[in-house]
Amino acid sequence: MTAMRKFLVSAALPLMLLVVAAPAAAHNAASLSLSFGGGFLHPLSGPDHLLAMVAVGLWGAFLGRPLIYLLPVVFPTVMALGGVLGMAGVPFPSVEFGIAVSVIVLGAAILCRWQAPVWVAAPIVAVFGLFHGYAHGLELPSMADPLGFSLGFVLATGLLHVLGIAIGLLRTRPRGEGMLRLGGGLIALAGCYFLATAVATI
Amino acid sequence: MKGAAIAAGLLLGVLAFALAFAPRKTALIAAGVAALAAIAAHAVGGVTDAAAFAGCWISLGLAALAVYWPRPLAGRCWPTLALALNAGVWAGLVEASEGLAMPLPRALPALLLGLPAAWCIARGWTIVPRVVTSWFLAAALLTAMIPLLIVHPGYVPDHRL
Repeated sequence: MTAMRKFLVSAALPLMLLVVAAPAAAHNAASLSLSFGGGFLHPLSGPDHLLAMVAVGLWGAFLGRPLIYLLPVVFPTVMALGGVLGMAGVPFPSVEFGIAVSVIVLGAAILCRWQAPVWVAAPIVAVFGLFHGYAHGLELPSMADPLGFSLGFVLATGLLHVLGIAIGLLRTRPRGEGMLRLGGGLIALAGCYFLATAVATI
Repeated sequence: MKGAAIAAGLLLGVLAFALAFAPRKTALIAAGVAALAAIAAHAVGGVTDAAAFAGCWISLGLAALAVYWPRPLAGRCWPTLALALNAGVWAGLVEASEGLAMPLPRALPALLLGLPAAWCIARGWTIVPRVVTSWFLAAALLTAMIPLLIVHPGYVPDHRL
């Protein structure tokens, strides 16, 4: 009897794991099935989103006041609007291109130490936020709680901006600025890859 | 579910950030006023769903203005108390509009966010409550708009249009 129970327990555990197991690949529909968690993981699991969000914070740190806090304020607010448009299924042009271009422009801005004025930097980041938000909203699972999902991706985005700002503080260290600009260049390169992928999928 | 508790929580959270910029004594009194107003309005209720949410979002906008431009409230007791009273009333009313038999508004703990915000402001990190307020604004926008949507596309592969 004890042996039988042991067998049942040992067989049940792998079966249970099979039932609850999710595919290893990130950023797919299955990973979005948990409302808040899915929303939270969405910007983290897509490298295009992740790099753009961190780059917003980094660029803000380069630009200093008031853009250091204006950019992380503008981006999530406009992104939320984009998320609503995506959930509503409002047609939107070339989302994948827009996201790839956002990564290129933000990375290049860091690389070139572009000291854009407020009236240029804020609208640029706002437009990019619209693209990213639209992508998040479009991928909302129909079974998920849209509010929880949305709150998740807003929080994750905000935290990525904070991460970017924190990394940007390394600028004051010796050779910090050079390292950050190199990082910006790598982000821009990754953006080129995303753009090439977007072109290839047409 | 229109997210009444979330709406009230967002409003009281942003109010807490605004109060964190005020002098400590004023902020404490204002937080108490907001809490009492929320409890009273929650008990009385009687406002339509749409009116409660509209009042909540307008009050949230006002509280957010006080976070980004705290100077008009700085050192002035009565405007701060008026802001807190207004926010408390609408937070209570919006929760009451949900129709759940709850003894107290569930969003009240959001006022405690003022403590870490005041801690950050005291150290000169005024950027922290301002950035977090923008997250709250984004969440408010979503909370306001999502119930208006009927169709959610769902399960569309990653931004392939």
